Amino acid sequence: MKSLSLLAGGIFRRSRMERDMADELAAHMEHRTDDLLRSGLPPTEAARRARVEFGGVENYKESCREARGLAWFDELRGNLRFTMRSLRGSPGYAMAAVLSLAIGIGANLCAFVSVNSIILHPFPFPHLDRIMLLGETNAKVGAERAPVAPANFFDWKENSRSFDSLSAFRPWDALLTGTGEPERVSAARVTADFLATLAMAPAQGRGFVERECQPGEDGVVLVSQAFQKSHQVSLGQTISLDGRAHTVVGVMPEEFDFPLATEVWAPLALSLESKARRNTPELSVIGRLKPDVSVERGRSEMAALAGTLARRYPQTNDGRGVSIEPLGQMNEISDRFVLIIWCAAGFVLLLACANIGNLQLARFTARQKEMGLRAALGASRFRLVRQVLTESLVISAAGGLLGLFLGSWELGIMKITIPAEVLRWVAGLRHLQMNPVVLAFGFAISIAAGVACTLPSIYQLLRQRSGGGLSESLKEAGRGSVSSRAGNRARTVLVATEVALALVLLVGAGLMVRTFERMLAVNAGIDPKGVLTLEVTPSPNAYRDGAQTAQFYQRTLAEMDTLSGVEAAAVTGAAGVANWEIEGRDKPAAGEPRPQARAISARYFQTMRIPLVEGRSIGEQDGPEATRSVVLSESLARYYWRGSSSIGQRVRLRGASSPWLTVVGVCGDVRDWFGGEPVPMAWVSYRQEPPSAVRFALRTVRDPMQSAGAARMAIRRVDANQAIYNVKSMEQVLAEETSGVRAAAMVMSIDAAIALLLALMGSYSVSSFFVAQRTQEIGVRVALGASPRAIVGMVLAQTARTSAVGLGSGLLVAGALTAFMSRALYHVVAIEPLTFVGITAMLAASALLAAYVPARRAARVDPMTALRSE
Amino acid sequence: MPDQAELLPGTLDMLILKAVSLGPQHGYGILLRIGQISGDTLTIEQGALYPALYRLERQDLLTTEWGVSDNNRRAKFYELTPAGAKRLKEETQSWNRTASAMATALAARPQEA
Repeated sequence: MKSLSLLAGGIFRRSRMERDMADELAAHMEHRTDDLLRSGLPPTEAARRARVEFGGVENYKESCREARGLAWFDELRGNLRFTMRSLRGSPGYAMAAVLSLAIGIGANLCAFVSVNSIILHPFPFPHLDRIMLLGETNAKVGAERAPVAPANFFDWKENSRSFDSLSAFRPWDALLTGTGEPERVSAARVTADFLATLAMAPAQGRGFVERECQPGEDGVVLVSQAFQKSHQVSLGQTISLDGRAHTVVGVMPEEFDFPLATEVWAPLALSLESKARRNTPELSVIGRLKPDVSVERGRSEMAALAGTLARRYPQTNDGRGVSIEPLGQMNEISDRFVLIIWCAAGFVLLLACANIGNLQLARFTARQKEMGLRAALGASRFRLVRQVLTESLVISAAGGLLGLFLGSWELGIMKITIPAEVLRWVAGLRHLQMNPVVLAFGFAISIAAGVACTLPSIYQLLRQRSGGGLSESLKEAGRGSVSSRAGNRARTVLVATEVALALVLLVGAGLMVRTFERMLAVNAGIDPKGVLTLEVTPSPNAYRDGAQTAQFYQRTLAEMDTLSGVEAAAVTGAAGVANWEIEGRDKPAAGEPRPQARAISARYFQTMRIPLVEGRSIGEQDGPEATRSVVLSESLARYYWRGSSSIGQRVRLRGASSPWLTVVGVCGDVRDWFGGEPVPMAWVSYRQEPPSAVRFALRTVRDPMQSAGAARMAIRRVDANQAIYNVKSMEQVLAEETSGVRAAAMVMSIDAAIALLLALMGSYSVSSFFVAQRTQEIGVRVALGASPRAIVGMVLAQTARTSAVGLGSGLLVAGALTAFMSRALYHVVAIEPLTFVGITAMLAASALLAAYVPARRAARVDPMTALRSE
Repeated sequence: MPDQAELLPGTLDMLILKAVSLGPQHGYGILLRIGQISGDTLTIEQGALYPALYRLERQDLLTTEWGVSDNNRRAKFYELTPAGAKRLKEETQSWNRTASAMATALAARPQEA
């Protein structure tokens, strides 16, 4: 409103000044007329003489306006009016330009929303750069960022000087009962100062107090806004978690999402005994650095502190250090994907600019006569530049506005297509939205794009001026001859650039797509088809020890085996590995493979179709009383027992505190979906190491989801009070894991397709222009006997030369890009010569095809018409 | 009509400031006054006066006010601001120095070189 009234005021003031000026000049004329009357002239003659003596009133008014400094306003108005007229005159050009800019700007806005949310503001905490994630390192077992032992955490908290506060938290899979079906809730146990460290506060109610962080006093919870809505809880109400009543004391604000995907927070109440533990990795730790302390100083102080602890408690703390990483930078991989996609969007916009620049240059050349005329009439060259700029900015403003709509639309689609699981696990992804920062960015790139589009035309304008001058162009255009060399060179450079950019984008997209395909292919370690999975975390209140838990699993498996349509049922859960050792050997050195361990039931390999390479699989006989056994993955066994058999050897997973396990078999490798590398695995029996959370896997004969209801019922028949979650087909589980890459590959492909289209448009328009320009020359050639084929060849040769330059430089950039992407995304992208060759050939062929149409037109030129066209 | 002299570039502003310094005056009046004080040797194209006036006003050397002229007509009167007075003084000194230097130079005789 305010700016509106200012504008109105300006216009009003301006019209008053206009009136003032008119009055003043009229007064001058009247005074002169009076004088002339006094000298004896008749009234009409006196008035006439006064006007004649004064000279061109409008001319002087213009000079006055300029002197007063408001001339730019009039010029702008004139330029705008002129632009509108000239764009209305060529709606095709205007639409093509606005649309290509809108696509470019829309893609950029959408990409920038991701950059803004995921990289710049992954968490809503004030001074995010000062919030650190701390972990313990252990040189002895090669741990780099392990959870922290409670006693060490309390020592850090007491002794460190670099942090305003240090807080600990621990994820908690809570079982929610009493609200219909039992349900698993993602919860976290946190210390009382947890929210203070993050500088956040509940939206309603209060946070925790120190007293509540003691066993027995911890029956309070904070809930997320989403949880409050979906479960209809209010402050003061109690909910039952793991069989205990918890009072809701507060609701966290909507944007608070830490640890990621947490719905409920409860106090971390450690017993005196657990507080004294120094060798159990239990707690995640965050800290807020003091304002004037750098990360480096924090690191060195904590390293010194860890050294002191290691000297005081050598048995547990020898070799332990502290890792400190800024919380905002933990999104590494997704950050890189986002950046690469942003670059791709930037390339699309550059391409759009090059295209518009090209179109404008062609228009500009066609308007050379007009420009020459205006120059001859006294328009300064900067005034002409301003005219061209005005036109560009009008187009880019329209493009920006349309781009905003396109971007919002694209963002909406993106938000829908990202699976809920991914949305939950990438910080900031949940809050993708247009905000003032994004709008400001959109405005800035619109202006920048508008200016960039004009550069070729301005270049040509200035070149002309320094060369023959605009009056020269008057003559040239009059003769209808070939336009200046500068213009042709600029156009060629532009098309070459477009081809280069398109190539880079196509290669980038090609690599992304190939990577994604490979990711899908490398999961060959298992066969996900036809497998149904369900997850259960038995409540520790109902199942107090491992034996009871294992019995629950065993009975459930027996129930599942009776289901029709189920070939095999199995269970799997994580087993801890802290300190991998092989009997009779030194501890593995840093860099040597240490396996992950999973507890499985007898028919797991059969269910997942993991091949057995040697020996036997984990079987029914591996009960709690039997000899402890383990099956190793092929790559792990091959590493440690090269050439000999590992069967009968003994290994340990958790150092001296754990029993020796006898190797009974070797199975095929499962591969990491992301890198495609074999994951070193140790498979143990679930009855010998009962996991606290498991995934049931059922191989079905039909569509796995059809068995979901029956499988649920099977679990319920054993225990109706446990929450069953993540009921999915295995294929869906894998698809969710790779969905981030799939989304990236899709966006890159769309960008590449747009780029290809824009580059073809550029090729086509330049060839057309080239043909139109040389119509006369071609006419002469035809008249002198050149065959249509020769003419087509001539036009194609020109395109081929330009494209070759573009492809050459594009290949260089694409090579560098590939190297960068391989580095940035680890071994995700392999350089594949075939991709390069294929894409280069395709682009070259399309460019020639785009030139072929105008070339044919040229070949059909009638010499008489062409020569007469002068 | 007496001989007319070409106006040197840059002198128009000085003449206007001088004319206005003799008392507030409207545009036409300034024109007449310049003619008068220069003994009718310096004439100014009537229209060209106004862009110069607007420029000086924008530089805050002149202020304006609408009033009534001797002819009983409404007219815009120009008046010198303190900055304008200062500028006139500086310009006058600088002009005098240049003029006397020029006069000396042009009066030189062969034997003095």
